[in-house]
Amino acid sequence: MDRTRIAFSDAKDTAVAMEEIKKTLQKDGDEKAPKLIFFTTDYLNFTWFSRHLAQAFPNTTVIGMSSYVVLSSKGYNPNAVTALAIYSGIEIASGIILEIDRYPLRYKETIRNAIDKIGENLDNTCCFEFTTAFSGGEELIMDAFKITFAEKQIPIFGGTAGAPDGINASFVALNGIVYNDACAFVIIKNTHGKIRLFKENMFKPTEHIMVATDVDCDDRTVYEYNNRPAAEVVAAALGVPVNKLFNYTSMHPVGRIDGDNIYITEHNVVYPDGQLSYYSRIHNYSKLVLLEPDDPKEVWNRTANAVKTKVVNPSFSIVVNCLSRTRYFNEQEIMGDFVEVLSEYGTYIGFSGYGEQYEYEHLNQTMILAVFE
Amino acid sequence: MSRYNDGVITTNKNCIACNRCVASCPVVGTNVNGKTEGKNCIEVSGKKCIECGNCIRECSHGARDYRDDTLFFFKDLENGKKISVIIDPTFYMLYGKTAYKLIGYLRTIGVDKIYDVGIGAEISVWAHAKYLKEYKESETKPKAFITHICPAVANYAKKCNPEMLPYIIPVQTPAICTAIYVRKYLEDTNPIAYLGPCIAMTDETSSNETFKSILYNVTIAHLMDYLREIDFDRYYSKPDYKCETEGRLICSNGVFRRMVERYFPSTEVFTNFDHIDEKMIAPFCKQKGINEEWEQHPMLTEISACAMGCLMGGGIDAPGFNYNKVYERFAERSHNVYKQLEDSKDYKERYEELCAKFKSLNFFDFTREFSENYRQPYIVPQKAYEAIFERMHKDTQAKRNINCKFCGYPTCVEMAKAVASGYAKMENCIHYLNDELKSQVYIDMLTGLPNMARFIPEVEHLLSTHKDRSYVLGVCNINKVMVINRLYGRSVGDAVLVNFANYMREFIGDGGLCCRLGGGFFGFCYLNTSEKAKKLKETETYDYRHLGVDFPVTVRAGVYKTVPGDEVPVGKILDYCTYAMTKITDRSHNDFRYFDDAIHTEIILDSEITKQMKQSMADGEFVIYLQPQFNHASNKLVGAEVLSRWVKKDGTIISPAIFVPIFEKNGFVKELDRHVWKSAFILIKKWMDEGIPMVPISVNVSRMSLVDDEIIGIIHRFKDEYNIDTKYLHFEVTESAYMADQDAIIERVNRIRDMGFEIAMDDFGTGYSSLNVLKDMPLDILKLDMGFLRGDTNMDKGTKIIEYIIHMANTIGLKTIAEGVETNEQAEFLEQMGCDVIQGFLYSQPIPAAEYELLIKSL
Repeated sequence: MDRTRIAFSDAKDTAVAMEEIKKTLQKDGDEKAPKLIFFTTDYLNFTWFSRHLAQAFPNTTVIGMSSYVVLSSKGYNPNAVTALAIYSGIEIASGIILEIDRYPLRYKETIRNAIDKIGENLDNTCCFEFTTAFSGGEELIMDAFKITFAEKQIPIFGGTAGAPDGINASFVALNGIVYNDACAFVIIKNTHGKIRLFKENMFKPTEHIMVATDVDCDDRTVYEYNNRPAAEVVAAALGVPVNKLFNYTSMHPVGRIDGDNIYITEHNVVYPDGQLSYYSRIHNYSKLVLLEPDDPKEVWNRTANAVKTKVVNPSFSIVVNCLSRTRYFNEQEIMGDFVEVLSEYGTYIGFSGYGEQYEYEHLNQTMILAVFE
Repeated sequence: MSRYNDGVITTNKNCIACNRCVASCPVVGTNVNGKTEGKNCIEVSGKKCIECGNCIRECSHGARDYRDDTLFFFKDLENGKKISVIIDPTFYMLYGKTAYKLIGYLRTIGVDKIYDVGIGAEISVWAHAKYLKEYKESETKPKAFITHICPAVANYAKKCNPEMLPYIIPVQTPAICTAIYVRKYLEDTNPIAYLGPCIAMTDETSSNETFKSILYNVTIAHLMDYLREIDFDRYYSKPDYKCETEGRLICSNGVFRRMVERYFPSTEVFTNFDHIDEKMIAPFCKQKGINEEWEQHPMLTEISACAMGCLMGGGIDAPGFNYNKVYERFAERSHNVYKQLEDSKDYKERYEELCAKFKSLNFFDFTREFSENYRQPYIVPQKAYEAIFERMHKDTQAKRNINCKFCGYPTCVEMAKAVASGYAKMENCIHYLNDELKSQVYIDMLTGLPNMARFIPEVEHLLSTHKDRSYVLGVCNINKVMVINRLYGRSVGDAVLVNFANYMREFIGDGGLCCRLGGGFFGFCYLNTSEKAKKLKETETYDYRHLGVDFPVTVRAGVYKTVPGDEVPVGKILDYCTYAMTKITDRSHNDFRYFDDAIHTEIILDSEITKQMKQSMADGEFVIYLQPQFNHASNKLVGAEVLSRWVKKDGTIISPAIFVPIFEKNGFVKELDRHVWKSAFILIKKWMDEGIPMVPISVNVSRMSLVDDEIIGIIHRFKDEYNIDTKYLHFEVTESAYMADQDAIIERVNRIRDMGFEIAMDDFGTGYSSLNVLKDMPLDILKLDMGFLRGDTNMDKGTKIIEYIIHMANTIGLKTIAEGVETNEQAEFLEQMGCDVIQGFLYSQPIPAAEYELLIKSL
């Protein structure tokens, strides 16, 4: 029996789509239920599919988030449903964290119970999580995991759910229960080998380094860079007037520098008084670099080469591709090329939402990839 | 003001950011450093403030205000509203009999009924005791034990420590109990005002959890301020419901606990804290299984935010607080109350009495829920701490653990966390300011780069900790900085320097170092890589048109590559780089020159010559030689040029071609000139005295000797001292000396000429000659260099030029001497052209003075 199966349907009728999914995941009359199903679908149909998948697979942990676009090795479409079923080679434990906008740490028992279920040996283990959008709590969730995992330091991989433009809500689900303000997680131990994590930046650093000198961490706002109004500094670096800065910010995010790593932080609002808000937190006196677009195809190739080098025998992959990237690829009409590169990662399911979580960092405008050996 | 100051307690413009509020506040992040109208201040985050009033008590600048409902209270009274007032026991303790006068006045302005909060205190005690006795603990809901008498403590739990909330006994405060009792049981339907010392009551009154029983929080301080013009002596009244029992004492910390204690066996533990301290509270609130150290807690713990309890509340009239009087009143009342309470009953009997007293009350009327609005604080990542500590110069563990609390935070780590979160500024740390000031000594103020004093030790450290690597060190200079300053102004020149400094920073990158040495000079050090080497060569010029500089700006650099294990001191390497840099003469594009063996040899020679020159001069190693000059036609000796030679004791002769350029660089050439002139004067004097037939001899004057008037004094002195016939001594000035400051030089040369000496222009034709020089200079002789006749190219042109120069010189009355004549053909030609005198190897090389003397003796 296959270790994994990927099902995809873009049928407009949800019942038809569900049947196609079931047919694929329950192929050949095979009665062995998958241990875990990752799924994603568009915002409108998410609740329906969550419930029906859970009903169809009552003995399976079913976890998912709503996506801006549904991606899988079987196809992609903004209005579709896809599910990746894993039948063997994993041990799992899952849970839900609530109050994500202010106190996810309250649910540390839930996380601890999940770790205890996996057992003492946490080699080749990773925590996958999906968080609903617009709570501003991704960093708090990362902190909750960090504190709870303590010295165990299980890697974190996840995404913030997505929704179509103009909708300020999103969903995650676990075992048929849908939440619009929660984090659903599943800790997975890969008994067949390692779980390798990769990050892909489609931006490269410019020469403009800035230091945040007045911030509000709670509000993810920077008031000053280099002791000057933040918007002025960024506008001057880009050579544009401040009142036109908003036209340039989406393609010029900032990168938090950590050694050789750059974690992308996307601009949110440019305020008239010069403050800039972001989609992830910036600490005071963090060094940031203004970023500019890199060549997407070169970037994709670099990632693909890195994966090929590090993962000799990939089994399946999970992709989280930022909504902003998806939007950009669509505008540039290279989404098809991107999906083609993704197909190099074998069987995969892809999510596209408002953020990515990787190495306990909340990122924006990034693609992260988990490849299971 | 700005993005803070949005809660009950606010900062006003008296704030000078002294940090005392930060130190006194139990909640990190409540007091936030900011700026208002350019002035540093500390603002209050309403989200985090628990309204305990500690900061108001601490502030000695009157910089904290708070809002309450005093103005609304008086306005509504003025509008005819009937309001009932409940008065906190604190009021009576603070004002004694004056309190009744005030009550009398309040009645005259429309206050209807007046009640003592002591009544509600006793109800609250009963409710607390009942809860403790009757509550059945469950798995999910532990038994609470912390009193709820202080709204600030409840705020603290709600906003900062939600784990504490289940342990706060869910009973209303004495004030709220009073209001509920008044409304429900005494059926007073008037809106109720609470007169007391508590700022936190402002939010408490508007909370659904207190059923909005109290409409106005009137603090004592604001009330007394509002009524400061009133003479109360005319008024007097007592409350409608006065408390004469223990309830009137609860304004002091510990009394409430004592009141509840009476209903429990003495073996039970009752405690009280008079301030909020997380370290004290936390152990009690650990749930079983999480912290095994504490499985028990007291029966009851009374916690008040204010030391001494409500008597020191944030809303009291602090300047009017008279400790002695307050203590007297408290002692007197306490004595009276406890005298009445003395009995022989045991705790059970007392509890029965208490329950009987309040049997008509429904316990659940006086209970409440607590809602929570806690926000989990962020973990500040270690890299954020490191970034801040680095900026604060806290580069050792000791510096990170000073923990002086001057900044308001208990530890340096807490301070760094506050800085990372945006609550605090680094400038609050005096140690940072101290170190920053010290570091400014090592920073160039214009560019922000380190200066040399810091650069050298840092490079030394870098090289010593990476001995296996090769680094590139260099010194570079922006060409024509002075021209830029002159043409465009200093501000543009400075802008160029700043821009270049920024470029240097980025070019060098994180692993390297750079500094400003002064003027347009910069030093740098980076790891020797091929990318950097390529980048160094790539940039031809720098475009600063955006700064207003119209021409391309260029840089020249001297560069040194270290080898692994290189032991040359960094200061020396910079000297080498500077030396190498000076070799670059082309300023039209960026250029760099590596310090190599040839330059090294040159430096060594330079150094050796410079080391020896003074002593050698003193030892008489500098001797004069003379090169005879002849009239070719007559073959007669007609003169000689005096030249210096360095003849060392061991017989080695160092050519002037080696030492003269070095002396010109280090200024010793002036000494040499003086020595040669003196030697010439002495020689002529000797020959005159001995009656030896003489011909004129000429001495050279270097450029350096002509820069000031000292030369005039020296020659004058020699003339007076040796009293020679001036016609026998000529002074040769090189053509290039006239290029700078012509007027001053002309004037000096004229003065030498006026003394009677003839002047020759030496090396005419070697440089870029200016015919104006011939016109304006006081000259008698023109010495031609034979460069025109050397080489294989353009010989015809060269001979023509010589011809016309000689003709021109003759026409304007100048004698001509041709120097460097080596062949008879040259001599013949020159003679034909009318050149008067020939000097060169054709006739004689320079000879020692003794040999020359023999020559002229033979004339």
